[in-house]
Amino acid sequence: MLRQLKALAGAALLLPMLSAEGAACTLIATGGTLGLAPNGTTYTSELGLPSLVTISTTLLDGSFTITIDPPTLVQSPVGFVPISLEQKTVSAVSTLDLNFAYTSGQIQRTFPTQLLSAAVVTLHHRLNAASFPSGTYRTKTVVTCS
Amino acid sequence: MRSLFGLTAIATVAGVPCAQAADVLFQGTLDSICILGLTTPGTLGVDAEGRLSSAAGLPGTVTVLTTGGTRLNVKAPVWTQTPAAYSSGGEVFEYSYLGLSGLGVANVDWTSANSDVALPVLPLSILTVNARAANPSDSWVDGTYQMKVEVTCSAS
Amino acid sequence: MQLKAFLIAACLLGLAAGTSSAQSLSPMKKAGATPSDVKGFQLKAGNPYKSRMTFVALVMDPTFTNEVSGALVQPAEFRLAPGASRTLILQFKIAPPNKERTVAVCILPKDIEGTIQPRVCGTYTGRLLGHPGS
Repeated sequence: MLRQLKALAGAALLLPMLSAEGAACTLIATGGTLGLAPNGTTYTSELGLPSLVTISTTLLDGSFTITIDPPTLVQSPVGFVPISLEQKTVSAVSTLDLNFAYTSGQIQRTFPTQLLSAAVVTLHHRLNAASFPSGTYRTKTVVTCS
Repeated sequence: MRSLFGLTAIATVAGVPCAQAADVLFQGTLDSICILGLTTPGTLGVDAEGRLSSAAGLPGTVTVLTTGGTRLNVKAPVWTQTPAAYSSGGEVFEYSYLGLSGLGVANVDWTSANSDVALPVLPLSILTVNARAANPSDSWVDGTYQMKVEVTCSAS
Repeated sequence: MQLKAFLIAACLLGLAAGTSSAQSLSPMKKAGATPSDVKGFQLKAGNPYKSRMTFVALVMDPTFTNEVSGALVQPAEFRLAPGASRTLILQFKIAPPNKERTVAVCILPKDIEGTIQPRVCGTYTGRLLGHPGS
C-alpha cells in the first residue's frame, strides 16, 4: 500500500512538468451587444454591452501574449455600406495593462510575468457608417492567449 | 495521505478546459424605426405681405432618423390658439420644408397641400419647417396666435 | 403692405440651450391573430435625446386623422427621462361582423411650444383566429 502511494506521489510531481509544456493561459469571453448612437452613424457596444474577456495564467514563470485579431463584419442587412469597424480594450487591472484606443487593426501585447489572479479586459466594437438600415448586424474578433 | 490530496488538486487543475483562443461576437438587431426630434420650436412674426409667418420669426427645426421602411407626412398648419376677439375663417394656411434634399427627400415650397413621402434610410438629419397664414381681412387683432404644422413619421 | 404697429405675442420661444424633444415607437407595424374579439400588442416608446419629456399616446384610425373608440393604449400619458423607454399596452376590440381591424398609435410630446407638432405613429392589425391571413 505504501509503495503504491509513493508511486502515486511520484506521478503527482510529474504532472506540473507536463502542464508546463501545454497552454500558458486560459480565456473565457462573453459576447457583446450593439446599440445605435443618437446621431444614427455609429452602432457600438458602448451603447449596448461590451465583451468581457477573463484571462488567467498558470502558476509558472514565463511571459504570455494576448492577441486580438482585427474586427470583421460577419453579418449586415442588404444595402448596408460600412465606413469602418474598430475595437478598443479597457483593462482596469494594473498587472494586465491592455488599454488600447479604437483601432481597425490587431491589438497585441506581451506580458513578462504570469498573473497572480484572473484579470478581466473589456472589449468594445464600434461600427461606423453614413446610415444604418434595419436588420441584424454581427461583428467578430478572435482573442488568443499564448 | 498528503500526496493523495496533492494528486487530487493537480488532477482538478488539469481537468479545467484550457481555451487559448476565443471567438468574440457582437450582435445587434435594428427594427424599422423612426425617431423625430423637435430642436427649435419656431416663432411667428409678420412678413412683408402681412402674413403671420415663421419666416418672419424663426423657423422650426425637426430632426429625423430612420432605419428605413418609413414615410413622412406633413400637413398644412392649423390654429391652436388665437385671441378671443379674432374671428377665424378664410385664412390661407401654408407650410414649406427643406433640408433633406441631399438625402433623397425633395424640398417642398410654400403649399397648402399635404405631402407624403417615403423616407430613405437616414442618419440624424435636420428638417427646417416654416408655417404661415394669410388673413383675408388683412388684419390681426392684438393677442397671442399659435399655429402648428403636424409632421408625422409612420411605417410604410 | 404696411406693417401694422401692434403687438402680436408670438408663441413662446423655448430656445433655451439644449431644449429638444424626441420620440420613437417600436414596433412601427405589427399584425397578429387573437382567439377572442380583443387584440393586444406590446409597444415600446422611447425618448432617445437629452431632455426629459412628457408624451401622449393616442389610438387613431390608420390614416392618423381621428381618434377611435373601442381601443385604448396604456398609459395614455407618460414622462420619460433622456434615453429612457417604457412599455405601452395597446388593446382594441374587433367588433362583429368584422374579422379584422387596423388601428394606429401615435406618440406626441405633450403641450409642446412652437410651430411644429411632431408625431411618430405605428399601425397594428388584429385578426380573428381562423380568418384568412391570421
